[in-house]
Amino acid sequence: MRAFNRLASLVLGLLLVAGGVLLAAEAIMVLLNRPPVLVPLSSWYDWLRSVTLNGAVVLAVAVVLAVLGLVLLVAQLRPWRPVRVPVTVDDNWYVQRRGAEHGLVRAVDDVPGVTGAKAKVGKRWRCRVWATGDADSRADVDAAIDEELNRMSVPDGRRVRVKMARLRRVT
Amino acid sequence: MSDAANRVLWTLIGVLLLAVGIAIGLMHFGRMPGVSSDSVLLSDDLLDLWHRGDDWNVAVLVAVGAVVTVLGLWLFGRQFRRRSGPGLANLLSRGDDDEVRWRTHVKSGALVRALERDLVDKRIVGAHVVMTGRPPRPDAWVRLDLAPGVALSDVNERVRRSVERFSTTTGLQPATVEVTVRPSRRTASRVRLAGRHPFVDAFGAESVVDDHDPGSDGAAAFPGTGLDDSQMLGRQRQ
Repeated sequence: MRAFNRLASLVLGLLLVAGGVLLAAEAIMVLLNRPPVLVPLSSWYDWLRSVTLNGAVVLAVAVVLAVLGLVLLVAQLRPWRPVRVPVTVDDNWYVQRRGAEHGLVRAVDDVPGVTGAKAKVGKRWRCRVWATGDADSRADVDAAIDEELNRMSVPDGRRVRVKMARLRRVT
Repeated sequence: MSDAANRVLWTLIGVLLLAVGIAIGLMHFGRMPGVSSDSVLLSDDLLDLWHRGDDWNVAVLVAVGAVVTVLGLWLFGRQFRRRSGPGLANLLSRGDDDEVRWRTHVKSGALVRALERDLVDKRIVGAHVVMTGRPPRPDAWVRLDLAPGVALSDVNERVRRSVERFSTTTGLQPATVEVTVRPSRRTASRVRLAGRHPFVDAFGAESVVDDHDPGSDGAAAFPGTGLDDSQMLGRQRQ
């Protein structure tokens, strides 16, 4: 979402530049009594003078704007996963969340009997790990996760939920 | 522009779009006080308002266009600067001896790169430092890339000593040092050759080729093979 916001701001900046230049250019052409540069002003004038507020196009615009606004609000206001999470090594030390997730996946993947793993780390080190493999490997998976979290000096208040899915055998 | 600032911007845009959409919807259904749903988009009242400023209304549009352009350029440019504060300025010191007046300029970029190089060792494979604020108490933002299998507690002391050396050398005492660690994505190697060739053990040869010894020509032959170690390595990799 952060990358999307940054890209959207880049695009918005470009649109503002284009819009501002066009507005200034068209206004200058009006001042000089010249024909417009790009926008057919008289067509727009006739259209704006003919369409009423109870027209279908007005309702369509209202719905599009409201839906877009709502989608933006929900996307911005819902909780985002942190970029980094604090650790106990020292004051102001953090671990990159994605790196922590990769570390957990790697640690679980290295356990014999595990064929695949996925991990998510949230705020305050709420970790969720999904592993596919033998049920007998569960203890080793838990140990590997603990070891990896200790290596990253994760605070004691961490919460780890592990789900093991049985390996499907094709016969 | 920081991620938080972008988030605030797009939240405000979302609120604005939602408010405008609802307002237009209310006007469409005739629920907006003072506005009739039968009126055209560009009503006579709006045209009167526009014509009240006939001498300067178009000039105002030119100015608005210029302001919007500058705003767009600012927003575009800010996306390429993630930190909110200015970087550390170059250091300048002056002095007056008996006959000589001197000035020393030290580029802050050189100091920061020196700190980055000091941080890197076999456990910290990459370091990136940004300093903001003013001397003598800037803020330091450090990003470390760790080697596979390295624990954070192993590098804490190294970072502390590097920052101490930096302070002693430059006279700058960072007010805060914020460290973000990127663990390695690679697995720590479980097999260490440690200077012994695997085929030495396999063939029981007594000679040991030291890959790290510059004096070794690495051409010790392996009994029974007629090959030297580089040829054996090539075969091994195949």
